[in-house]
Amino acid sequence: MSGISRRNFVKASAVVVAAAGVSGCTGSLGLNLNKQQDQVILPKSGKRVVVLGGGWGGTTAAKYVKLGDPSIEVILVERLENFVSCPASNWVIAGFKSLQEITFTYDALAKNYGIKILKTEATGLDPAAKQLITAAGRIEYDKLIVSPGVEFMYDKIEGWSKSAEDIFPHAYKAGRQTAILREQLVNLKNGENVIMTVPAAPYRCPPGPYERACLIAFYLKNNKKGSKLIVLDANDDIASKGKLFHAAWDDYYKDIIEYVPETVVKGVDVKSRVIKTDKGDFKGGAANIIPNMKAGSFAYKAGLLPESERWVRVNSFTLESQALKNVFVLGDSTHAGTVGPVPKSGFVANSMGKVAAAAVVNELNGKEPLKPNLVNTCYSLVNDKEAIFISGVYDYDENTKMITSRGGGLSPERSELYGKHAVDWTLSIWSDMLS
Amino acid sequence: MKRSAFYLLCVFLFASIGAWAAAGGDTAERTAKTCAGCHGTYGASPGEFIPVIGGQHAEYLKKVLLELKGKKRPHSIEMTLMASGYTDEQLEAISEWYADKKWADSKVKVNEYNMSATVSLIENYSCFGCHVDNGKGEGETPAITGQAPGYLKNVLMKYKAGLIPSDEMAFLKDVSEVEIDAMVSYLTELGRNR
Ligand SMILES: Cc1cc2nc3c(=O)[nH]c(=O)nc-3n(C[C@H](O)[C@H](O)[C@H](O)COP(=O)(O)OP(=O)(O)OC[C@H]3O[C@@H](n4cnc5c(N)ncnc54)[C@H](O)[C@@H]3O)c2cc1C
Repeated sequence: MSGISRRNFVKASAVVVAAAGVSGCTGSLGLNLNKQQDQVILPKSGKRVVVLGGGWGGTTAAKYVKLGDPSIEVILVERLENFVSCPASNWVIAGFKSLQEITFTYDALAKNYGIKILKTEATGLDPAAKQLITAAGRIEYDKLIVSPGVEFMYDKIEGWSKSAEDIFPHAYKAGRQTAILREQLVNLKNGENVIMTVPAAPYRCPPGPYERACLIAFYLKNNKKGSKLIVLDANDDIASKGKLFHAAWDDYYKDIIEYVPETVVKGVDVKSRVIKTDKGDFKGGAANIIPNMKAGSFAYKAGLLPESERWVRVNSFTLESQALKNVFVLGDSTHAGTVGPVPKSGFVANSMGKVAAAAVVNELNGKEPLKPNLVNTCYSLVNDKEAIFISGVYDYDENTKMITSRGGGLSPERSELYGKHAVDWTLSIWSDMLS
Repeated sequence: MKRSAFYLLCVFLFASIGAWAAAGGDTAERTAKTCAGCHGTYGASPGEFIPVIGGQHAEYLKKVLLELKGKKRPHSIEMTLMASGYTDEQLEAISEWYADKKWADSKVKVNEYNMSATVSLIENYSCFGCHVDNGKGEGETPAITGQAPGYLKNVLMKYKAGLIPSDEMAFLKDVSEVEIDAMVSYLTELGRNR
């Protein structure tokens, strides 16, 4: 027995060294980017899956490919140093959690599963050669799994400039932006208003802006006397869990939240900090503009969709791209019209990661892929203790050839127990993706 | 010594091959993994209020999931809604798949109570008479040792209030909340110290 465990140990430590070596690449290769871009790095020997994007879909897919077949080499390409969770980032804005508490490294994926983490920017794709093009060089793949998240569409906002993002933070990709919005709230003077804008659906996390509205209102109620939150919503009503959110707003934030539906942001004046809409101009001491969204920009660079479209068309059975063979697309970037009525949520991206992982593992082992099955539960805190939720179970329907809703529903009311489950859910799903 | 180790290894191999074939088959393979979004990979829930399900008994999981789906067990709104999305056959396959995984004892921090008084409580109520083998349970009687403490307490309080019908657990209506807290803490500690 001791012989076996020693061999395992030696093998495991070799993997970690290799992984550390890969992580180190970015730094040393950074000096000579242009030349490097065209060279194949990490030449492939056995079966290999490359995953682009270390977010909710990508980390899950990488881990579940390894769980499905540890002999497949998995390389995870991510531009950022750390994983920062969007779910629970509204809790940071309200001051319930620190940014550190929702920030994680990718180390456990390297250590526990031998996944190679390559910290670099993916810049394009060579589908004929089956190579992902990155700033560090070309990486060969047998199967590529792409989960690049969303890109913000600022082009329709007149007067927008890069610096506007710090004045009107979206806080819709967690990290520095989350900290900026938090800081704006903390620095708000009593009586100054907060403006928040909600994009027209579809966008990432339908209930996200309304959970944020609850928690900003909670913060104002307890910390900023006389301050209000003005919610400018491009939709004609709350886009998700409407009744439950309205009930919370009526019961707790009647004097704080002013809800203005059917209001579209047209432009901004960065200097005077004014937001221009089709219902007039608004100005606040803090302003959160959540812009329209489309598939992550990598999807466009890779040729997965034309500039005229917003979401990537996939095959609902395996999540393989309709445009490119051997390229699987997950998460927020996917076109719900081609998948089925699933929301753009972290939980769905996590489920999709498992579907794509199973599909590529089976295909690489000469087996038929299994029918997909997905789940979603999305909790929203309405104050520091209580939450509401929506859940769904989705299965593949042979008749429509789409993923179809099979069950689930809304919480009948808000409760503290759901609030506890909301916190526990983050722990479970973070562990399912990252450790 | 050597021979018994070899024998054990053989038993283990046979058991795991048998379990692999039986553990829900393709149906579970495609439906069970998503549960991890709330219950952790292979059901090793790291939190306080969502239960560990990996390594729980298949018969128990099946019974509970089917009762939840049939709205006969009001212990979790979330799970009643989730269970509504699966066929009975899928719920059974999922139960077998999770039962086949390794049980992971909860690591959640718990309060300390008087140890000998708590042990007497557990003996008096004869918890391990049904949840045999120091709380591992068997068949339709669940493993309780090492379970997520917040979940365990929540369920025991529901039995106490008569919200989940059960003759075996009816004794809880005369047990105080503090006693329940103490037993839950003990069972959690017992799990990671076994
Ligand atoms: C405030 C807020 C609250 C939310 N709350 C919830 C919730 O409670 N529950 C829930 O289920 N969902 C929630 N969501 C939604 C969830 O965050 C998204 O649905 C999820 O992140 C989608 O996963 P993804 O893999 O598609 O994209 P992401 O998680 O965004 O991952 C994309 C990754 O790809 C990387 N990347 C992109 N392009 C490149 C490139 N060219 N090179 C290298 N790396 C690249 C990015 O850096 C990023 O790490 C919330 C979102 C927000 C904003």
